[in-house]
Amino acid sequence: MTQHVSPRLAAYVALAAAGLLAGLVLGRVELVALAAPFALAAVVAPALARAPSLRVALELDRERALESEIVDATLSLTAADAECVDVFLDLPRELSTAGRNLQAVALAAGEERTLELPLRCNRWGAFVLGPPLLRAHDRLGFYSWETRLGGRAALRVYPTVEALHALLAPLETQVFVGNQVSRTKGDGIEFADIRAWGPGDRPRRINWRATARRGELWVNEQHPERNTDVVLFLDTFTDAQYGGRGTLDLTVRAATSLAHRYLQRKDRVGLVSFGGYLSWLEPESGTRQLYRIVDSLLQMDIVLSFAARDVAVLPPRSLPPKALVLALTPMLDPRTGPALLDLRARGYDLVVVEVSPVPFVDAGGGELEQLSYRLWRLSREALRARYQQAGVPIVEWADGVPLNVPLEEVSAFRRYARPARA
Amino acid sequence: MTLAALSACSYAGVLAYTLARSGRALPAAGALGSIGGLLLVVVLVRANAELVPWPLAFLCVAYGVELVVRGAGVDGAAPLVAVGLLLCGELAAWSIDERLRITAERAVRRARAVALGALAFGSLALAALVIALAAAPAGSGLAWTVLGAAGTVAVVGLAVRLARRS
Repeated sequence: MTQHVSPRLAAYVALAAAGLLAGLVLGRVELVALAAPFALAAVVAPALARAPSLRVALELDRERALESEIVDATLSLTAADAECVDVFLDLPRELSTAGRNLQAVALAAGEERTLELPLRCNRWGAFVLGPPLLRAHDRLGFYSWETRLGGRAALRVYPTVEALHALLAPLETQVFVGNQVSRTKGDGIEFADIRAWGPGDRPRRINWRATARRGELWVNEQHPERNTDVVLFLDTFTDAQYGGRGTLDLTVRAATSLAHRYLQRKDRVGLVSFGGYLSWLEPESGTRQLYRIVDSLLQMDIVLSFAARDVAVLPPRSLPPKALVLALTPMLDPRTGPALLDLRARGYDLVVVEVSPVPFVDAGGGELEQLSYRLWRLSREALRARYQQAGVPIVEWADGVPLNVPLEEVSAFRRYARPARA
Repeated sequence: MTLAALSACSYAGVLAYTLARSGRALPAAGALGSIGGLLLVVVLVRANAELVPWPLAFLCVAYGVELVVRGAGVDGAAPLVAVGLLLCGELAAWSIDERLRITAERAVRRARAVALGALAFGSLALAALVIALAAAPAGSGLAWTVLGAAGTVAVVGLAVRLARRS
């Protein structure tokens, strides 16, 4: 415990000393009487001061919450002797409280007090709360003791999921059963074509109308329902921020919504964080994978690095063949572009969603600043054109626009553009 | 706000008493008291806890000047003046503490008020005892002087120790 002595106490001692000295020198007892209260305070305060014995426990009513939800934090305080204690729980910017965070409580000896603190989760993130800051002080405030007690409590706040009406269909499906209608033919529900009967074909697949018209047996063919592999490729090299929001924030929100929706559709979803700190999750399906992805996204941060990055450093299983690679990038770092074009060259079904940093950038007022801003915008246009020349659908997604809009744009692009095969 | 007003009232009361008694010392006591009063206003308005002792020091000096200029006779109200000064300082400090955004329980305020009351009562008793002892006939003036000097040295020593610690 750190002990603090109020400067008032030293001043009182000085006043008492000055009064006593003046009384002696001038021979005036009134000055001694004047010094007496200050001398009494200076003697009594240290005599009664003692370090408090406190016990504190911090608990949260749950470990996981969604944005804008309320989580109740409970602080249990026990003191061996009667104490006046100020309690403060240091909160990160992303959490706030409608209650009284900084409280002064009077504890009787042996009494256990419980303080409730409703925490509002304003933004996603993984947080460790506590230990709470305690400041016990004597009754007159001459002495105080500060310490952090009570352990820590972890809280994960998940971003809210945006409702996506339609998802991007990958060009190719995988071999496992899913909800995506495959382009190939096989056992399924969706009608694909008819063909002449062959040995081994089941009688229920015979198309009787075609058979009657052609005079020989013809059978129906279907498209099987298969799953897809989706890899969310996040560019975390750099971030553009303004007013508490930024491109990384949008990227994480979009990735959460996409992962949630694709996994709901029984697809396998993987994650690649391509930035100063390289991390990946191999594609898997199921709720557990959703939690893995979201937990990984919560810890995602911008790590400044000048190291050269290439997709070659990624393990092959993190980018399975025929996977739909959905890249979310602000296109601010020059290392991302070559990496994405490399993926396209390797035959991956690549879609680039440009998380626009433009709303977070101030164009500036000066002529030179305006010119720089326009050049920067032009260079972004040029980069976009490079992607389009390589046959990669690229759409701009700005803050405030529903994620459905860029996804629909990509679908429209794909309707009219065929993938180039080398 | 109430605490600040009480502190100012306490200061004003002591200053008014000092000025009312002042004859020839009125200009000096008035000037010192006014400076102290201005300082107290600054302390209360700017919530500067470190300056709290300075108005008290100025008022002490004003009272001392008045005593020295007046000369003969013991002021029987000195204990009240002393307690008034202490209350002025403590109430000002409490007022500043209350301005921090700490939501204090009623029990915390009550405990401080009780402690302050006890300190004021004890101070009044001690100061009255000092005045009473001075009025009592003592056999040897030198012994009292030595005792007073020893007390002064002890307090000065304590002040130095506290200053070093802080």
